[in-house]
Amino acid sequence: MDTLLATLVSGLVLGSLYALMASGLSLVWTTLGVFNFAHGALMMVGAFIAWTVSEAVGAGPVAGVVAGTLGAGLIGIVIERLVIRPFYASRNMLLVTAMTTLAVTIILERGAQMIWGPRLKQLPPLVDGEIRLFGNAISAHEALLLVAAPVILIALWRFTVSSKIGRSLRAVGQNQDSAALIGVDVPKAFALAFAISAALAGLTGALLGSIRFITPAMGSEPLTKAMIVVIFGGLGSLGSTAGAAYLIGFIEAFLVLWVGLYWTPFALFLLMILVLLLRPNGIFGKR
Amino acid sequence: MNDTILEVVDASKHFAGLKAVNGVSFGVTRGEILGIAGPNGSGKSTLFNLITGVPFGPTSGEIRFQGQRIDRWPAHRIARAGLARTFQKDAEFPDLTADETLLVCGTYNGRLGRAAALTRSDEVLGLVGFTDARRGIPSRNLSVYEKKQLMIASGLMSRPAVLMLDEPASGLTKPEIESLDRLLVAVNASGVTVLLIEHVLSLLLSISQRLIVLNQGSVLAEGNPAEVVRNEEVITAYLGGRKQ
Repeated sequence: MDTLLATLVSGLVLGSLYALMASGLSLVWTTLGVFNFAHGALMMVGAFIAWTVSEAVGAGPVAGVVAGTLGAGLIGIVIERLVIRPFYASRNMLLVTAMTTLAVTIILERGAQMIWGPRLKQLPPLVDGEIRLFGNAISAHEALLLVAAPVILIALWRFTVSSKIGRSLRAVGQNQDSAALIGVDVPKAFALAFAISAALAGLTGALLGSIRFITPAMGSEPLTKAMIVVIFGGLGSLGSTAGAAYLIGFIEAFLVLWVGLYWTPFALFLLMILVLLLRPNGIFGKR
Repeated sequence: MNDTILEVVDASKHFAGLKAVNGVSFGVTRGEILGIAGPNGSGKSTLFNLITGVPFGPTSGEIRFQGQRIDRWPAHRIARAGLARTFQKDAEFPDLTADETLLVCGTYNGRLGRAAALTRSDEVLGLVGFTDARRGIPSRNLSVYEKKQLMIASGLMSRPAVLMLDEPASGLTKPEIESLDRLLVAVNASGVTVLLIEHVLSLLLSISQRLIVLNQGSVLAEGNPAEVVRNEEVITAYLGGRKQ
């Protein structure tokens, strides 16, 4: 029973992390129709910026998280401007931007290696201490992640549904031409969606930076998981993406328990292939 | 042509050798309903694209709207200046409800606050005769006629000077076309200049005050609708050379 509860808690932590990652990917996909392979690298940059502000400058972990979020958001705007916007009119936009965002990943990872060096880094937790959840002790920082993820997701959902700008992003995602005709500045909407997504990645990185080590390659594994999540949930709505994120978190936690850490990625990818074969639009996908 | 609201001067659009629109010139008088007809592929929708900048402006030539050159403006700026347009596609935003669609139109194009946009939504939905009970469902679940009503309503949100409609009657039944006829006359009577691309000749002849016929990217005939449709060249272009 204890093992079961501990696994559930671990799945919840993983699910929160994946939900934050995948919601950013989903936002960019639904608005721009681009799959951003640099999302993991943006997460890593957010973590490094947070570490620099918090530790190297000494401004503390809260300032670090804020700086990591904003910094990644700004870098997101630059990426959109330089390697995505020039290809909007291209017929192969999806393919071209897959390559350009992969290139950005390499540039950011190598860049981080040059700027911050190879030594492992870690952020102090935002909150100290431990919290007991279902009889299991988890760090207060992890508990914060558990609370923060749904709050951020609900805020993002409310933003897209009931704010003026959020509605315009949905309009752009559904029909760029008509959105321009009703007065929405489409390039600006693209930049904004990309910036929000990048900021979410940066925030995730900054929060993860006190649970895992910060390294230039730290974004690749969460990105892979987020890809599995969006394939599972379908890239359509925030709700199905979040649902899939928690589901994958639980599946991963139980796989670690049953088949071990070594075989877990294999089993997850096998599951992903099965979903692609049986439900190509995701388990929550409609069409 | 004293009160010309929109002027197209020698506009062309070339795609790698294909002259989709080739040296088209015409003026639109404030307050009129101008019909645009022509066989498939004659450049009607491309002409609308050039004027509204969606998705592209002209290769050469000038477009003037209320005295200003707009052919190099970004699409949203043209829209905000008062040139509204609808597409042939039936649902503009399939996942947005009618209320949401109009709210985006009102707040962006119309630059209205939320409350003013809601008031304006009520007005335009009333004008186009949209059923209140259908306002809260995603547009993709609306009937063909309701989608057209919503499209026209969204065009009207910003109180445009000119409304450009691309084949609004396609896919409609005869009674629905008659309703559309009355609706467009009412829109025009409210002070909106209307440009109408249409294949349904009865609608064009019934409501347009002037008719332009395009063929292979150029203006073939222009003038009084009843006379234009009797023009030999027009008949030949439409019927492929057969005698009527």
